Amino acid sequence: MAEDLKQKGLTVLRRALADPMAEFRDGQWDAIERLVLGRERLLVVQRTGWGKSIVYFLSTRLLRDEGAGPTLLISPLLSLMRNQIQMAERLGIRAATINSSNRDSWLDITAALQRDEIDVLLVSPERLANDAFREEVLLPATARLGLFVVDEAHCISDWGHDFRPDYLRITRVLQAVPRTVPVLTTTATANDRVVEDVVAQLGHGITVSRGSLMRESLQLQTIQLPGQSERMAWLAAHVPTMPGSGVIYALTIADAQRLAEWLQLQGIDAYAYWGGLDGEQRVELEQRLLGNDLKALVATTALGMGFDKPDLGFVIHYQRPGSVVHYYQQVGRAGRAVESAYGILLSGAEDAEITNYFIETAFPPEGHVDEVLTALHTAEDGLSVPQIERAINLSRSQIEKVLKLLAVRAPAPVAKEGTRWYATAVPYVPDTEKVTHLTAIRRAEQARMQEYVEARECLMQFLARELDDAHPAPCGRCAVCRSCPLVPETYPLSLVEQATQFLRRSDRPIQPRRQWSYNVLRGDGAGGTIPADLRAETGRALCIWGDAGWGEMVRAGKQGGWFAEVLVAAAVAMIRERWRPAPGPTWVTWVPSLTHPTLVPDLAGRIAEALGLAFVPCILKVRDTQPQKDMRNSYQQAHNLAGAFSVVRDQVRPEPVLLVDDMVDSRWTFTVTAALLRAAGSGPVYPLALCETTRTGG
Amino acid sequence: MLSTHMLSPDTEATLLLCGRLGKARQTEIAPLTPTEYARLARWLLHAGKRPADLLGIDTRTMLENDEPPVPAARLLTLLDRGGALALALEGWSNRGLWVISRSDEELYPRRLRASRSSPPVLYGAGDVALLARGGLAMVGSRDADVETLDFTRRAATSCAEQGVQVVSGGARGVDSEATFACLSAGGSTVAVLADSLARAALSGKYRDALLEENLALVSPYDPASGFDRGSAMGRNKYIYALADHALIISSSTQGGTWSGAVEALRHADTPVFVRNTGDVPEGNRLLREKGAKPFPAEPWADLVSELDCVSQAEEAPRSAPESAVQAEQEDVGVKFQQGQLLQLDPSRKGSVEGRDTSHPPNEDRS
Repeated sequence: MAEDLKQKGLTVLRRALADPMAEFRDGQWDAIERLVLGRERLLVVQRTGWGKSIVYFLSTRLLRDEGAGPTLLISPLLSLMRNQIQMAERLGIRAATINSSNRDSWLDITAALQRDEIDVLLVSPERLANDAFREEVLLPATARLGLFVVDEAHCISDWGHDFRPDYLRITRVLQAVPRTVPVLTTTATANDRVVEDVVAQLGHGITVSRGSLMRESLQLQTIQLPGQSERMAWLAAHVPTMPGSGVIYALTIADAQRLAEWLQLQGIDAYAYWGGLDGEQRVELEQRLLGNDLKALVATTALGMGFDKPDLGFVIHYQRPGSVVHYYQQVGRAGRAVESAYGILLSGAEDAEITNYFIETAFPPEGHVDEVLTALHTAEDGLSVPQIERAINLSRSQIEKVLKLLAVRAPAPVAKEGTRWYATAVPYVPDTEKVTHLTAIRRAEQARMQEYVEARECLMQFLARELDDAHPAPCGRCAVCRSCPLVPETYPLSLVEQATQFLRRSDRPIQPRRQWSYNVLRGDGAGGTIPADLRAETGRALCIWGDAGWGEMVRAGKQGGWFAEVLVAAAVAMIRERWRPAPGPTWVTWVPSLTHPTLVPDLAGRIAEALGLAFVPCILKVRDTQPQKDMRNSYQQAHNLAGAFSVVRDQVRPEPVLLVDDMVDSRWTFTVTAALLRAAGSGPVYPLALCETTRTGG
Repeated sequence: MLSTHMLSPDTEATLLLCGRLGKARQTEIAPLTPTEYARLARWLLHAGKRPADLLGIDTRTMLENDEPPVPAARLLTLLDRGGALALALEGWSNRGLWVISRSDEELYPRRLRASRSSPPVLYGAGDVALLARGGLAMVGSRDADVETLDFTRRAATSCAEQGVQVVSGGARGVDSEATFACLSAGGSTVAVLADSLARAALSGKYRDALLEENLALVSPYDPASGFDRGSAMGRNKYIYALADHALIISSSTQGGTWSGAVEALRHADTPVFVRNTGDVPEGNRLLREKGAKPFPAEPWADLVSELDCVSQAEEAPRSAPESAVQAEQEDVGVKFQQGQLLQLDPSRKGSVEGRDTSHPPNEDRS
């Protein structure tokens, strides 16, 4: 029977590939046989390009021929789904996708599923986690499930490298899949620890199939360049010489944005790619990269999951990632179907600080968990996230982090119904041991990554060994094997100077807030939109806290109680040369503080003098508030400021005004003081801050 | 704490066969009724098999060759609902619910296993161990007057103070009064819900008691079920079955409380008492005539002995209280484990098929 089946499978494969001599790759038929004949649960660890889709599509074909229900395939990337649907069609498999972008077709697809006319349904993890979608669409459509496939299964592992809450719900669905249904989980990135973890999570009788992760065309190199300006100069000098199109990874969104802008200034066709872009922009950038229609995407980790470009020419890291698993996952996307491709890791002075920050903020402190749970327990009928914000002093992202931590427990102490979160009848027991354990693992991984940067052995072998490849061997192609740099480590000093100047000019817009938070500020219970004539204009921040431009100098000024004259000059240059607010301000005032009464007015006074504008004290702080940065969410921040300021009406001038503060975080202080100024009859209000203090990855 | 999403193979099979797995849908084939499941279980037993054996690769061949008591095609369609099971189960787990089947030896309450038409699957929230603790069932109408509610509160409070668990139907009126009076007096209580378990399990009014393990919510119906008159009637027998004694607080001469009480009196599994002091409704008097015993008068110094005393004074119970041994013999799940076959009388099998769900086969034990 197995031989007949194999012949049949081979026939389908050869027809699909239009190659009468095609054979299965190592492990492919074994996996298909286990799924189709044994209804087993499999974890397949194979490098990208090995042909995992052959396994699930052929298994689907053979299972369907035996009368099984359709395959459900959970896959994270829309553009990848399109590729996979084309691939399926070549194998004679009817595939369809239900996702947020094709809502119009849901009814047709559901009906086709009910008529049993669809062989494979592709669904994103986010969809699978949506309760209404599950109940209304998915449950009736896939009640008869022939095969369950989860791509990028390393996401199931823990709170590890790519923790995604939606994947933990997938884990629970997988655990609940009865023995009657075969399960295939696949990943291209997993060391033993991740494999063990996935196996432990998926429980009963899962078989692991592993192939070599070594990549023959990939040429690796590491370069240590502590300064941001030096790395920017290196990129400007060497990216144009790289083969084809590629990806440059940065650790934070701000870095990705600035780097893309810098490379563009240097005439390089590079664009920032990060999680906050809307779906259409992301798909467009992915398509342009796939079509070699740009030189590079400067991306955060948002690019990676499932991204499949066989001829990716290079992957360069601007900063060192937090772990080898992460690094391999990103660099391993280069050079699958080309003769040679570069994987170059730049490493800088700020890397450790950033990865430390990510490690330290990965888990919410127990205090946060208690606060959220207490709020939910006190509620009779659950709470929405904004309602939780109103009840406790945590930021929205902190609240969401807590809710995720709790929701993925099994059984879970919280549950979401519609938009509301409820405490369930499940007690919460803190798992401090697990948190300590995982944090220790992350520290160790961070250290291993640093060792990679300094490695004196074959770099590919180092990665393969870290990923527990069974047969790591020297590659003969990396910078260490060849004992010379593949790409020169040098760069023109003139570019360093330009990069420094660029960083000093890379100020950040301050977008005005348009909504009051829950009417606390108005106190009249009326609607939440800030009327246009009370809003601030778009302002500017000179730099990012602690960065290589002005950031360090602002930090020193804040600590020493006096901002250096160069910062005043830089702010003035920013206003005159780049910002040029119009109509231009005719007077300057500042946001007062009771704890540092002279720092900001001194700064504002010097800026006013340098610009030749009137310097007008007119805002009073009437009561002391908590520092805004200690107020964790919009509601608390706004509440903290309600009634904190007043404006001396007869000082206010009816002309445009520059409103100066040292830091900007939530933008509430600017929002409130600008509204007070406008209400007292001032012209347009332009907020100016020396420094922005937020930091986000992803 | 039970974790719902890792089921034993037997429970998995039972749930595939009997669970509705989410909202009611018109197009789907009907899951097995408790009676149908009992028939299938006996058939499996007879063949030396367990429910889990229906999950094998050769199930189709086995069912198509062996003429099961339910058409093979229907069984195969039900067993083929693996996707629905996975999604439904994960959803329950997400809300902190558990699910157990008759095959879960340790968890499935023995007193329910022995009862009329014992449900193949139970869904619940809170401490499952409370289901084994018995106690006093308190039943009465949804729209009760103040005097009735006062009586309910006093009786439930006494129960709590004397360590007697209260079992109720979790509806408004008498049920709800009994539940919350018992809880506020520090007692433990079980509510057998006829619908909406998923919603009830997240409701703020139950949460503390569930967390403190003083309350178990349990239902034989899918957690997503909405209100249904048939379900409300159908669950009455489980309220009686989970208790040692039952108290009818107020009953009209028709409706759920009435028919539930009449049914309980007919089967005499649980001694039934009726409130007959004060201004009681007509139904209470008629139930007394039908054999319900008078509930002892206040104050209740030692409720359990007073109830036993009344029982002895009244006519002898129609059937002796079941012993653990008897209950075990009735237990299909246990028999699966022991591998002892109960010879099935073909004529008896025939007679079983004509019955409705309130007269299932495993009730015949005289």
